[in-house]
Amino acid sequence: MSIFSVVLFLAACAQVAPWEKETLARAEMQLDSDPLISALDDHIYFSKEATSGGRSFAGGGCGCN
Amino acid sequence: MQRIKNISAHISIAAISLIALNTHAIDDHTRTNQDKWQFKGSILGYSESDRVSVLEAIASAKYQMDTDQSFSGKITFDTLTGASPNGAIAANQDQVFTSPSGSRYEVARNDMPNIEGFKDTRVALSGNWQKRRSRMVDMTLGANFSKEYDYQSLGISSLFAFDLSNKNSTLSVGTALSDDTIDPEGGVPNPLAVMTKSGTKQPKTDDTENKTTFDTILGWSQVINPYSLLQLNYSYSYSSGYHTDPYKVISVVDSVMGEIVIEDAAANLSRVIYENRPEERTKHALYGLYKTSVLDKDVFEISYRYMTDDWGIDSHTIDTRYRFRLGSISFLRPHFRYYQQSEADFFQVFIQDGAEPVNTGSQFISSDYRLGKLTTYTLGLEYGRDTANPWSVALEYYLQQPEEPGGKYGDLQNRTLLEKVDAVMLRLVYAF
Repeated sequence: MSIFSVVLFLAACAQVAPWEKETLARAEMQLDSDPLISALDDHIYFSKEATSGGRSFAGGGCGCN
Repeated sequence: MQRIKNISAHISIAAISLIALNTHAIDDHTRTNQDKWQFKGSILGYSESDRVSVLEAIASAKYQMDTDQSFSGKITFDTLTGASPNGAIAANQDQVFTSPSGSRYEVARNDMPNIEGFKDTRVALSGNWQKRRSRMVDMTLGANFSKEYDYQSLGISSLFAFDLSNKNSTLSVGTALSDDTIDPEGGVPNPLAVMTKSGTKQPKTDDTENKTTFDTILGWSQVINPYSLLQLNYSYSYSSGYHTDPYKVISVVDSVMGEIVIEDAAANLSRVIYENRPEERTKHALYGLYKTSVLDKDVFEISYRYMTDDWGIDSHTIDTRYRFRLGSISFLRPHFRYYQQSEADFFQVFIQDGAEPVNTGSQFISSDYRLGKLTTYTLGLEYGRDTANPWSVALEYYLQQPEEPGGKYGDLQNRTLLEKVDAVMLRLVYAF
């Protein structure tokens, strides 16, 4: 509930105009700026830990050892 | 006449202009065609001390069909070699086991039992079609396939993103479905059955097994100010089918001395039983990412993920990176990740002689270290250059520290039952 409130609060107060988004438009500022690195990381951690997903789909995957 | 000359001149100018425009159009077309394609490649070398080594290569391509739609594809190859733990514990004597293929292998006294000579190759393909449905709605449809020697996975996904509040907020909703098939080397072990010696009939069937996974994700991303972003996701995952690792066993130990029990004295075969996991698993995860530009040149990001499932596992993950800009085109990016999980309800490293579970429908047991209580750390450093063909190289160290199980007695107190895992990773990424 508190997370939902924070989201609503941010949505209500943040009004950044398009011409103010130069910095946010940079490649390194994208939410997943390095999808290949994310894919490699996900594969490693999926193989070694009990948790997967969160940022994106957990999926089925592989019979990793 | 003058008028005709003027018209003629105008026509000439118009023709020249058209030619010039056309030339520009061709240039634009050529440049656009080049710009429409983006390629990226990556190679990862991963090596654990005395265990698995992985070499993984990914090639990806994105084709921007027009301003409203794109197609991206990715192909992944990886090769795994080395040794993989079989789940049994080390002992104060040499041990003998039967490999998945039915051959005999020995493990020296005090060594952790591993299946040696493990080798597998995986190929994975995925494709995504992204289309802007309206000024506010973006749709991505995807499919993926992966195949390795004993495992196959097929999946489809969809994701819809809704831009709100002048594109300062984005609400996304997605679903994915995957179907996995496992055809284990040597067959599917009967759950909880005792391993028999090499050369005899193993307690296995020739079946293949399936698992279906349904995922859904609900996300919110928010522009906080001209320099900062926030992302929040809730994800739900339900899987049904075969979750057991057919290659993992659990040691049976003497209830007084804590020493391993020998199943077949002539063969020196240790008594181990095949693991058994529930047929269903439900996971819930919350994920939050905060990303901000620092001094309008560096980038700081930190994420947190909480996961809980009905196997009794809770986990916390913190992942943070700081991208320092060096000069006009280079960057340096340190990376730190912390991960901690509790153990599954049915996680058990050993089982006492006489207390072996027998009911495969309700008694679950696994000694897979990945289901135990553990903490992991990743520390890395990446250097890259944002040139016309950007590239980066990263070196990372991964340490997994499991927690020893309670209830050790007798000989079990003299030994470490769960080993730490450490690995070094080298990664290259190149775009063109």
